Parts: sequence; structure tokens; C-alpha cells
Amino acid sequence: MKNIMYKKGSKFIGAILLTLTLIIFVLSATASVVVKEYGIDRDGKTTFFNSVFCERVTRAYNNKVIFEYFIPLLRNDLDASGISRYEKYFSIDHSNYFFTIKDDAGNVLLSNYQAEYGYTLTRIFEVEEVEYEMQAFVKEDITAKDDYMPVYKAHMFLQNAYSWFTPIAVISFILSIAIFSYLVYTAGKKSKDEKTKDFASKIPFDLFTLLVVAFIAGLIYLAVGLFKSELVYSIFVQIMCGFAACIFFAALGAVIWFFSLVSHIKQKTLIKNTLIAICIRWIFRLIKKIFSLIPLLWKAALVACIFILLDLILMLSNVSPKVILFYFLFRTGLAIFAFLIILDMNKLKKAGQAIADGNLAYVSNASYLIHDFKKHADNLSSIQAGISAAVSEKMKSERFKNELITNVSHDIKTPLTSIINYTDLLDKTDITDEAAKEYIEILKKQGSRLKKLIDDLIEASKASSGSMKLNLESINVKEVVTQSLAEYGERFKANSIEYHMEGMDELYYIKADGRLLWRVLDNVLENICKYSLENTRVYVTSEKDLDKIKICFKNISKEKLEISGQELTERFVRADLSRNTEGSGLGLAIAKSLTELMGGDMVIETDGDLFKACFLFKVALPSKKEPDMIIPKEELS
Amino acid sequence: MYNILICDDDYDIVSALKIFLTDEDHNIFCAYSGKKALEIINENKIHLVLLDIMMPKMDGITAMTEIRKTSNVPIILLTAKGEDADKVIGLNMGADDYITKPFNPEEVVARVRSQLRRYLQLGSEKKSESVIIFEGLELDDNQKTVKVSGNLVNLTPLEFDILKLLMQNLHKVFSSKEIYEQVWDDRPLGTENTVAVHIRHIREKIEINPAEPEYLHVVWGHGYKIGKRLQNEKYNV
Repeated sequence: MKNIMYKKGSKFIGAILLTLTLIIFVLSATASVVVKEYGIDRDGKTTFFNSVFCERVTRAYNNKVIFEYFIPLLRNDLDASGISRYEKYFSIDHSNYFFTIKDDAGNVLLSNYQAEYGYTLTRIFEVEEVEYEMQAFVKEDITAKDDYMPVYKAHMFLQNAYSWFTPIAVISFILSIAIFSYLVYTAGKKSKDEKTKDFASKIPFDLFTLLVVAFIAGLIYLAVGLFKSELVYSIFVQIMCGFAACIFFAALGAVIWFFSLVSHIKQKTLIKNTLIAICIRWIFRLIKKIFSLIPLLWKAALVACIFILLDLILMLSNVSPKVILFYFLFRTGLAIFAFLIILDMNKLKKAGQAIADGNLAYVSNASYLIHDFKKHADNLSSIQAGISAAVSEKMKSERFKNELITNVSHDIKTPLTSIINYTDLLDKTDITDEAAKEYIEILKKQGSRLKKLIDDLIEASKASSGSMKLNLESINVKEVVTQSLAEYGERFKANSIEYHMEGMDELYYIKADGRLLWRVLDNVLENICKYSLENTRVYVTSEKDLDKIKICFKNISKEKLEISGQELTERFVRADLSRNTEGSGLGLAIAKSLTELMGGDMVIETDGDLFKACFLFKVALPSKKEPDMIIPKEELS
Repeated sequence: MYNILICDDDYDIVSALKIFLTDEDHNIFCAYSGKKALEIINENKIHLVLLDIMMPKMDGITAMTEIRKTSNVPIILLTAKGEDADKVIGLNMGADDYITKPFNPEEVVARVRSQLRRYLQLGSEKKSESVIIFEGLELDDNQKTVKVSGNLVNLTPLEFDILKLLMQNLHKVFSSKEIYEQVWDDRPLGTENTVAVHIRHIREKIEINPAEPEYLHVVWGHGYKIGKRLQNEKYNV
């Protein structure tokens, strides 16, 4: 049932039925109105003879008589056969119409009747400046099959059936409403949920409308023509059938058009599917294409030329208020256009800036940009994608390297633990051999060196990969330097090195991670301990330079510095090329990586034997917040 | 004489630890997997567990979770990875201490001793009002004594005052300046160094490994505090 509802055939039948019911409704409604209006009901005063229908037929006969019978007769244009034809035509058996034509003297010139009865119509007319009077009568009982007959029958029908019209009108109205709702509901649908395009949707809607209008107009023209044609009884049925068919098809066309409209509205294709819209779209696309082919420079030149031309026209023309208004609007439009261009430029600038800053996740919204800018934005995004791919590739390999280092280090640590432990055990056994004792010492020393090396390696790989968690806060420079130096107090003493602090302001705060900063200073101080000449001083200074605070460590190197400061911070580079002293050669590299991780900068300078390690950190505001105050709940209890 | 369980999948490490701890006069049980360790714990009265984290079959963390279901025996984790995350997880899951490989045998012995003392002796005695206790650290203000895991520590009066200030305000961070003002009762004029040096000395006296302090922590760039080890070990490798 549901499926039948949505079938094309049932819809078409529905449309036909709707047309029929609508016509029936219109006809019956009109008839009921007409019956009331003209009082053609059975008890009304109007009889057939004084109705307009009767009068029309009479007038038509009058004309026929005057122009086809009387005047030719008067002019002797009619031969005998013609006269007998008319005599037969208007004989009492064939006609319900009687007439008599008199001249102004009252003499009967032409007549076909014996008695005067029925409805009378008098007409006075002139032929060649002679006045004639014509009287027409209609037979009281319409028996002859002339033009009166159908009209009379129709009249009788109206009179007899007048009480039916109103109920028929109501019923047909209800029916048409029902069919109408059914059609509206199913229009543009294949099934309950599925949408479909009917045949009309394939034609542009405006074209379709035009066709339908032409069709209906043609039919109506035909119908009107038929209606206006003389009501000849012999072809009356054909005329009426033609007329009805015209009306029916016109109405059917209108109905189909209407449901095509409904279908379009439902599918939201009303405007999109019009020929005008298609043409506009096509033209727009063409202009766009042409415009895109012109180089940007020429485009700009073209626009500038148009502006100059318009300005020129304005200057040459007589300035009227209208022109001024036009000029104002034009200039406003220009300003808006310029503003849009600037907006677009700004978008591009942002995208470019993001790429320059290394923000590869930045997504610029290029969809609303003007053609050329859009292209530029697309280029930017492809650059971005390229860099992003390269970076992620690099990151992947870096991560792999770091994982490798971490895992290998872990695997080394386990056997190393045993080496250290058993060396220790060996050390505790009673060994009298001095050489053996010396060997054990070497084992111990190298074991601990290996341990330090592995730790450094892991830290360096972590620091350079940036996989460390950062906890940036305000750090008091003086406090941290004091603390660090205190850690190294003993070792400085052991190496006969003194330290001296200068320019340490208590209010110097830097933005750094306390623990990582200690690792940095640890490495630097370790370096100082190892390579400082004995009995020299280490200077630790700090100074403020705009928004940066510079912390410097200066010491005198034991060995001749043959490597530049730059090289010293490379991994595995050591000042003593023989690599004899303890240390992994990673210390300064770690310090540099960690410093950079905290957003600082480390510079190593060498000047003769003077070794200078400087750190630049951003100034921070002193924080009232105390770190490490987050205490687990069970700790408080 | 205590029962100590050593659990590591590396045979040589277990043997070495066994030797060091037998010297200390302990009874040693050895296990080479987490499963075996659980069996031994169920069958014997164990006083302390040394547990490796990375082991085949059942790792140390899982084994520890199992142990903690039934017992609160001290557990010291042996970690080779040294990753911060592992330490944090270990301590959060119920470990009492951890030692990173490669370890110093002396340190292991010291930590074992400290844990055993804390587990078996502390908390049993009644402490007077004047005693402040933080984990294994004990400060008696009346007697002017400081004990670490029950061992008496000799501190100078200044060191004692500094420690007292920090212990009276557990977890609070004091800058060198504040410590100087409160302990010396004077304005520091180029003498903040002194505090740092004193702290360094205190740490050498009370900590097993001053480079990895258990009690007295350096809060870099801010000052010093006495508090939980875990929070300060965030970035230690």
C-alpha cells in the first residue's frame, strides 16, 4: 500500500483526479452561484425566455438574418436556391426563431412567422441610410433542433438540478483537498524517507514554468475561441468536448506544475535548478576562469584602470548630488574591498608567521580568501605539510636514538653492578700481593667512571631530546649559586681552589627549573673542579642585561685550551685531547642542552687560559609561592 | 639476625648482595623471579625484601603489589632503568625505598640497616613531647640529640638549631637568608654561604647518600626543607 502510494502512476492518476475534482468543484460552485444569481431555480422569476442565454442566441440569429439573408436579399445578391435554403432554415419545423423586418413605414419586408408570441426582441438598424425595424420572437416550446435547443436544455438542466450543485461543490471540494494533501505529501519522494527527482526536476524550473504557462495560455486561448464561436447545434457537442478538454488539460498542467514546485521546495532545488541560476553560475565560473588566467599584476592594473577611468568620468561630468552619492558609495565599496584584502593578507601573514615560528599544527582558514590569496595560502599549507613531515621524521629518528641509548645503557648497568660489587668484594678479601691491590684499585676507579659515563649518556640523550618534564618557576640566582657552591665546597678545597662571588643581587630572579638548573651548575662546577689550575680563584658573577640575567663562571684552565668554546659544548669533546682525565666529555653538552631546554642560553668563551662559561636566563618576578609544598594527604595526618 | 629476601633475575647480583648482607649477620633468602619471591614470603617470616623491578614472568611492581596485600614488610626496590616514572610508581605502590643500579654495596647495606631499624624498633618506644620525628629522623629538643634510624648523630649546636628549625616546620622551604635570620638571630651580610655549608655538613651526617638525600632536601634556587624524598627526586636520573 505504502509503495503504491509513492508510485509514479498513482501520483499521475492522483493529479488527474485532482484536476477533475477541481473542475467539478469550480463548475458546480459556479453553477450554484449562477443559478442563485440569475434566479434560474424552479421557483424563480427568470424563465428561459428572459435569460441572457436565450438573448444571446436570439442576437446571433438576428445578425445572421440581417447580414446573411436580409441585406443580400435587399441587394439582390441572393439567388433562388439561397432564398429557398434560408426559407427552409427558418421554417417553422426547423427553427424556434421567428422574425419580422419592417421599414419605417411599417410594411413587412421579410418574415417567417404567423403569430407573434414568446419572447420578443426589437432591433432597429440602418442599411444605406434607410432605417428598418426588426422584431424577433422565440417559440414558447422549444421543439425544433436549432441553436436554442442545447442552451434550452442546459437551462432546463440547471433549473432541474439546481439543488444538487451545492452538495456536489462541497463534496468535490473535500475530495480535491484530500487528493491535494496526498500529492503534497508524496511529492518529491520515492518512499517514506527516500527523496526522488521526478521528470520535471530534470528540466530547469523556470523553463518548465514557461512551458506550462505557454501550454495553459494556448489552451485557454483555444477554449475562449471555442466558447466565443457560434453555438451551432450540429457541432455543439464537439465544441463543448473540445472546450472541456482544453480546460481539463490546462488545469492538469497547472496541477502538475504546482506539485513540481512543491517537490522542488522540498528538495531545496527551487532556485538552484532554474535556468537563470544555471546561466549565472556558468557565467560566474567563466569570469572566474578568465580572471584566474590573468596574472595578478594585470588584474591589479585592470582594477586601477577602472578606478582611474571612473574618477575621470566623474571629474569631467557635471557634479550633481546624485553623482556625489554614487562617488561616495563607490569609495565606500573600495574601502571595504581594501579592508578585505588587508584581512586576507593578515591571515596569510599569520600562517607564514606560524611556519616561521615552527608551529606546524597551525591551520589557516583559506576557504574565504580571494582567488590569488587562496592559492598562496594553499602553497603555505603545503610547505607546512612538507616541513611537518620532515620534522616528524627527524623526531622519530631522534626518539629512536634516545630509546636505543636508554635501553642499551640499562643493559650495561646490570653487568656493571656486578662488576662494581665483586670488585668491592675482592677489595675486602685478604690480598697480600701489592700488584693485585693496585689492579683492584684500577678496577674500582674505572668501574665508577663507567657508571658516571652511562649516567651522563642517558642524561645527555634525555636533555637533547627534550623528553624531560619542565617545571619552570622563579629561581633566586644568589640562593641557587650559593647552594651549588656549597655542594662543591669540599672539592674546591681539595683542589686548592677558592671561589668568589660578585654582583650577586638578592633580587635577581630567573625563570628556570630549579632541579635542572642544579644539573647545569653541577656539570659546570664539576668541569671547573677537574680542569682548574690549582691555587687559583673561580669567579662567579651575575649581571642584569635588560630582560636577561647573565651568570658567569670564570676559571683558569690547567691545560692549554686548544679548542674553541663552541667545540667544547659538542658531545664527547674534551679540552684534553689525550682524554686521560676522568669525565665523559658530556658535561658541558648536557649543561648546554638543559639550559636551552629551560629557554636559556649558554656561551663558552676561552681567552688564553681563561675559561668562561656564561648563562643567560630570562628575568622572572620573585614568586611568593613556595615550591615543593604539595604534600601527599597521608603525609599531613 | 633478620630474614632478608633478595629477588633479582641476575644471579651474580643476588650472590654479591648475599655476601654483603651475610656479613651483616642476616639470614638470606634468594629468589630469581617474582613468583618465587611470593612463595618464600608465604612460607617464611621475612623482615625485609630487596626487589628488582625488571624481571621476567612477574615483574617487581606486580610482586610488590601482591606482597602488600598481606604484609607491610619493608621493600627496597632495585632499579636499573632509573626512570623517574618507575621510581614514582614504585614508591606510590608501596615501596619504602629504592636504590638505582649500579649501586654501591655500602649504600645498600646502610639502607637495609636503616629500614630494618625503622621497621622493627621505632614506634615501639614512647616518645616525650620534646621529640620531633620525621620517618627515621628523630630530634630530641630536651636532650639536644638527633638520631637517624636509631643511631645517635653528633651535630654542632648551630647544626642542631638549623635542623630543629626545619623539623619544626616539616615540608616548609627556608631560604638561606631566613635560616640565618632565625638561627643566628642576625641580619645576613654576605654570610649566606655559611648556611649552605652548614646544611651540607648536616646532610653528610644524617644522610646515607648525601647526593641523594632522604630527609634534608635542597630546593634549588629557593632554599632547604625536610620532607618526603619522592617529591624532590623528580628529575634525578
